[in-house]
Order: sequence, then structure tokens, then C-alpha cells
Amino acid sequence: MSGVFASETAWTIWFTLRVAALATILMAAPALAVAWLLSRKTWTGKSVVETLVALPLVMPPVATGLILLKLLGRRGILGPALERIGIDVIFTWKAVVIAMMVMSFPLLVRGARIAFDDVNPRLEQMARSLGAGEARVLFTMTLPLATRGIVGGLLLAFARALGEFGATVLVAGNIPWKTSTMSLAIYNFVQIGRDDRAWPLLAVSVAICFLAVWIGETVLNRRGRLV
Amino acid sequence: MLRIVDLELPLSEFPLRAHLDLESRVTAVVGPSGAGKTSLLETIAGFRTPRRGRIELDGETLLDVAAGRNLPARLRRIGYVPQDDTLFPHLTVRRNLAYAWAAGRDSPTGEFDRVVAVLELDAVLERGISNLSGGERRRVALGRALLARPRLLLCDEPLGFSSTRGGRKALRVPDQRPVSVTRAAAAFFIGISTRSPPTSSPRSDPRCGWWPTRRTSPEPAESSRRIS
Repeated sequence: MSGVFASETAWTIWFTLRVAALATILMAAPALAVAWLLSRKTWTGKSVVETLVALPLVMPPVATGLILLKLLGRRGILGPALERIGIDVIFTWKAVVIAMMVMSFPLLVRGARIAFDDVNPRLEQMARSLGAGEARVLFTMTLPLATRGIVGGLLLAFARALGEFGATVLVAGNIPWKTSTMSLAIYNFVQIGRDDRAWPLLAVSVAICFLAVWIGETVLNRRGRLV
Repeated sequence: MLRIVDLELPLSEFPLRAHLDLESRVTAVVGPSGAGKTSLLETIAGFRTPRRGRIELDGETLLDVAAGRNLPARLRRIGYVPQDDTLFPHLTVRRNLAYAWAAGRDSPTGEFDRVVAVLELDAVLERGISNLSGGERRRVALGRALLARPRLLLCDEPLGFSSTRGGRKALRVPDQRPVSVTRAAAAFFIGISTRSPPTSSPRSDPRCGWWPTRRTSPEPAESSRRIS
């Protein structure tokens, strides 16, 4: 009994870390692009995109999950197309990743946008006048100068992904050994009255999130000192 | 050399108008605080786009609003030493100076060492820029602009640092032509100051022009008056 207990717990922790990391990596580039566009450019529909991006922060996660289900489900908008090319999303680990991406996206966008806003545009102008093209300005000025905010945003987004529950449970279900993340497994164990099996997961969740937020805050707070 | 034709740049309080034709190698722009001196330099450098006007440098049209031409700052080859230095805070002095190289503007071998020697920056090359004195910062900003091999050098408030020994030396660089690196920049130099025109101008060039700016947008002919 204790062998099974240990391995299911271990599997759940390892699975959660992997999908949360994958979700963070996959949404990083688009989130940074959106943050940069919001910070540096003026375009029509900007305020609408700004609001849409922030929406998952305040919407009930279950409602966001339902939207995703209607999009990706068999009878959804994108579901049939995905099914035709042989990609099954709903109730698989892929659905977990997608739910985590959507829910943590706003955190990185907000963090990175503030970081980009803090980069003095005169430094970018100076780089241009010294001969740098736009790509070089981005990679030698904007991104390095915004590193702290970006790293802080990534860590907060990762922590948010780790704890995702509401959206995940709708699109990925709560299937042990398949889609159960730590939060889903904790819920399962408490439901069947096995609080004792929830404790280790609880402890690990607290430890990981503490670490992620703590590093994130430390990194963010140091911002003012160097620059 | 530098021709500015019917330039009009809207500022918050008044439209800045400029019309001038400069032949002298060294020109200072003077005017009271808020007269638009920095805005004029930024427009020449390509950081600001005016509403009307044309800017030509050595026969090349940098900007012609009517014709829809606006050469980006990166292609203008104009060195700019801003009032607040605007050094890159995440790079060492060496990498600040070498930025133009990294951005693809090469200079002859030995150029870097010569500029560093003239500006007396050997001792601080590996430092971060937060550990520099005010004078050192100005010299780094000047060296960085020179190493991009500019056709024209714009210095905002250069007299502010001319009181120090190193600063004086730095200011003379474009005039003395002690090293080949400065020759490109020596072709033209605009210094601007809030002080009155007088003797503190770069001394070695007697043909020093002055272009007074005013809050009350003057007639083009009047604003291009020069004293030689």
C-alpha cells in the first residue's frame, strides 16, 4: 500500500512540475511579444487586447475552462479540425498544458510590460543612432534591461500554473496517473476522506510555490538597485 | 555642410522653427533654457520627426517631410552626446564604447585604443557605468559617439564638462585632430550651450558660428544669423 502511495504521489509531483514548466516555456514568447507590443507600440484595438489578456486573472477559472472546452472539445470550434489531424486534446496532458498557459499568460504579460515600460526609450534611441537595427536594439537593450521583470513574471506565471485547478478540471478532467496535477490530486484525496495522502502534496505545493514567489520577489525588488 | 530648410517641430509651448545653412566646422547653438536647443539636436539626429522641413548633410538628404523621406537614425551616421550621457547601464565602459562596433560599424585597427588614450579612459574600461564620476561619464559618451565614426557630432551642453582637465581635452579632440579617429567627426561639430557665445567656445577653430534660438518663433532669415 505504501509503495503505491509513494509512487502515485511522486508521479503527480513530477507530472505537475513538467506540465507547468512546459506551459511556462510555451507561452513565454507570445506573452513577451504581446507585452512588448503593449509597451512600445500604439495600434487600433490595443485597449481591447489589453483587457482580453488580463481577463483570465479576474474571470472565474471554471468559466475560462468552459470556454476552452467549447473551443477544443469534439463538438467545439477547433476540436473537429484537431481531431481530423489526429490530435486529441481534451482529457489529456495537453489540455492541462493549455489550461495552465491561458491562466498564467496574463501574469507574464503584466510583469514584462511593466519591465519594458521601465526601460528608458532614450537608451534604445542611442543604440539606433550608433547603428543598431531594431532586432539588435531588442536583444542588446530592451530585453537585457527588462530581464528582472521578465524573470519575475516567469516565476509568478510558473507558480500560477502549478496551482491551476478550475480551468484544468474542466478541459483535462481529474484522472489519476493521467491528468491529475497536485491541486487536482489534493482535491481527490480530500473528497474520499484520505486527508493523510493529501498532506505530502500540500507540503510540496507550499514549498515549490514559496520558492518560486520568493525568488521572483527577490529578483523584482533588486530591480531599482542596479539600473 | 548642414542645411536645414524651413524646419518646423511642434513643441508643447510653441513650434520650433529653424532655417540655417552652416559651413563652419564648429557651430554652437545658444538660447535660453526651453528655447528648443535639445529638440533641434534630436531632430537632426533623427530621434524626432518634425512637421515640416528638410535636413541635408554633405549633400545627402536626411529628411524631407514634403517628399516623405526620413532616413532612420541608425543610417544617419550622426554622433550624439546627450546632456545626461545616456550610457548603457547594463554594460561596462568597454562595451559601451564598443557598442557601435557590435552594431556593425567597423573602424580601423587601433582606433579603439587611440580614443581610449585620448579620453584617458584606460583605468575605467572594465568598470560598470554606475561607478564613474560625472566627467568620466561624459568622456565615455563622447568616446562612444566618436567610435561610431560619425559625419557630424552633436554635443548637448558640452561646456558643462569643459571645466575639468579631462573634459577640456575631450572637447578639443575634434579640433586638434591628434588622431585619425577624430577626423571624421572633426568635419563638423555642433556644441550647444545655455551660456552666452563667448570665449569658452572650442578655441582652435576661429570660424565658430552661433545660431540663436528663441521662444518666439523668429523669422527664418533672422534665426539663421551667424557670427563668424
